[in-house]
Amino acid sequence: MKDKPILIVDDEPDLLAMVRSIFERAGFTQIITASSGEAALDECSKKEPAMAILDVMMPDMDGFELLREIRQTSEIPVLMLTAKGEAEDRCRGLELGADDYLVKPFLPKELLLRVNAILKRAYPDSNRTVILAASTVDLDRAEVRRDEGIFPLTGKEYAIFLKLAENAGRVVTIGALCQAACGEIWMGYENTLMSHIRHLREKIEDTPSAPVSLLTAKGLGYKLMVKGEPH
Amino acid sequence: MNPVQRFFHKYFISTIAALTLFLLINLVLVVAIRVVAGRHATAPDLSVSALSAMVSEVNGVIEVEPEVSRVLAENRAWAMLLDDGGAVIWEEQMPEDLPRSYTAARIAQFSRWYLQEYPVFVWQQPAGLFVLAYPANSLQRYNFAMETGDVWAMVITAFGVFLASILLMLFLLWRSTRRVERAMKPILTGISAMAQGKPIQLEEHGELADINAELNRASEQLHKKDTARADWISGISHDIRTPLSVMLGYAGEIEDNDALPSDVQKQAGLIRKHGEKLRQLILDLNLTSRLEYAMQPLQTAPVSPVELSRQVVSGYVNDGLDGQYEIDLYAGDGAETILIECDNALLTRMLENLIGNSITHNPDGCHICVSVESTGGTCTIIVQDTGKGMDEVVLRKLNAAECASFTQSDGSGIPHGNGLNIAKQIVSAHRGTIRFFGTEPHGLTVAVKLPIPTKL
Repeated sequence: MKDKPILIVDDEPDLLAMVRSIFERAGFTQIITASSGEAALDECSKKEPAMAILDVMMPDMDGFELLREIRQTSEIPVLMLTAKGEAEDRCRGLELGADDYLVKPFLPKELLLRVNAILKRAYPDSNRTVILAASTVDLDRAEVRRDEGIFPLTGKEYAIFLKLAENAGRVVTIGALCQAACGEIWMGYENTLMSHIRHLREKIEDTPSAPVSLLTAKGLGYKLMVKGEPH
Repeated sequence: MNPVQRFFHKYFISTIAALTLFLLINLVLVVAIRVVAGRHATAPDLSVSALSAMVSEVNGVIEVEPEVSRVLAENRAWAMLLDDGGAVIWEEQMPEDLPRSYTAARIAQFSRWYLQEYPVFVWQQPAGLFVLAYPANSLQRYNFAMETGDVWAMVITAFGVFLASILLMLFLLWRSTRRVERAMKPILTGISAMAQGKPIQLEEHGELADINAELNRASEQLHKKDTARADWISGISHDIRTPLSVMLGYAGEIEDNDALPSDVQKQAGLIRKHGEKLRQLILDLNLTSRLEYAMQPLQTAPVSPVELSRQVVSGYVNDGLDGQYEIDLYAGDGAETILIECDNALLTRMLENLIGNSITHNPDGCHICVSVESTGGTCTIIVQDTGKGMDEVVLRKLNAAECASFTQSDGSGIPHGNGLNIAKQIVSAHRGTIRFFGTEPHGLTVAVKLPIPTKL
């Protein structure tokens, strides 16, 4: 993932240098920088980056305009950097096809987390497995492998498990899991979710009544404990 | 009844009271004048009877008291006494040109009107008919005759006209008050809205169009000032963001660089930590100024308050809450199914601020309980901690004070722009209420009430 070329566009040279430094220290090997919209379009056509990080406020061509230009030829994921942070700016960026936005000032960790999440979503690994205490889940084949055999996941179970796996070690709320399973309008789905969780536990746990991988966070949601990061 | 309606109601009542008082005073004055005038007036018929009593016939001789001549002379009047046949049997200062004998028809005629040009009054006495005549043109004599039914009709009509006049006067007064009210109400409402910092746009027509136009201009100027101030804050915060990003970025890198001496890493950590505080301050400054001037357009959507609370509490759990803190969430009966119309990001911020306040002010740890309840069209989000709480004075100020701003001191002693202030501003922007009170035996409870829309 870290060998993917990332284009960073900002008219502020110090910020550009700092962001490059953050990525290089984090192990990214192909960082391309541009200090204007025109230079960025030029780099896009020459080096075909896997992702772009665009500053919104730039002279001549602002980030929104640049995004519109990029979208005419490419579908690469884009993270917008905005110094305004107002809701209209965020919405405008997302409407134009940005994948995420980050409000300045940001911490290096925040930036890396967002970029990693975007890259994972945009370029999923071909052989993704999640290793749990009692089983291994093959995300590509949507099945659970255990000593007793292979148990396929239903569509809803897969969507729920994927959401939990993407946030491994963190509590994922009931609403977020319901939304993953049935979309934006999820109210009233909570009981069905409990049923899916029970079935998931039956497939991934040795003792479903005393789970060690898929834990309940009382009143909040569920948390997936993995032995190894999804890869 | 709002203050404007109350004012006009009082105005109407007081005007009626003033008019009633005016009528009463007039009535009293008329009666008083009649009484006083009556005391001083010399009623002609009384004079004729009195004078007549002073003229009498004794054994065929007319005897007259000397007073009669004096009174007649003083009044330039004259008198005569007619016997039953119409002949003058006594006279005093009677003009020479008048006849000394009268027929019954002539007597009947002058007794009602005039004897030639002299207004006369007659009085029957044993000696005959006493006639008193006043100087020509000194009195006007009228003789009315009316049927009894007509008298009653006249009285009733007069009363009806009086009543109708009163009713008409009340109607005109009410209409005039309504007109003034209609003209004044937008102005008073506008002034009230301006006092609350809301922009106004009054219609500039009618008799008070000039005042409306002036108010519109005043509101526009105030709004421009507020906008300029909020834009200035927004601009400053924008200009600070990029340099602060660079500072935070490099400080974070130096802090994480194990190749550097630990002292340098620690110092970089301090720079990063304070940079983060500065970042939070900028975000708060910008948000609070925009909320203060109602320039933060709410991005409202139906939101589940329970799920929103789950997200916030999970955020704290996932970010690794220190061991001395415990946090949990409780959803009351029926709360899971309710939706409120709100700005998800702002309400999240409000709840984060309330929980953050419990954590910040209780460094020794506490148990924080967030509960969501639904009762009668209201969603109540309660954040309760078992920390050291706040003293009564601060609680009173928090509950009483308007949202303190960055630019105006409210004298409450509550730090401007702190988390609780922002929470108050956010709740206010959502037309909700927020109350702060102590938790038994110790701690702080904050109850936020938000309306549940009947239809989404």
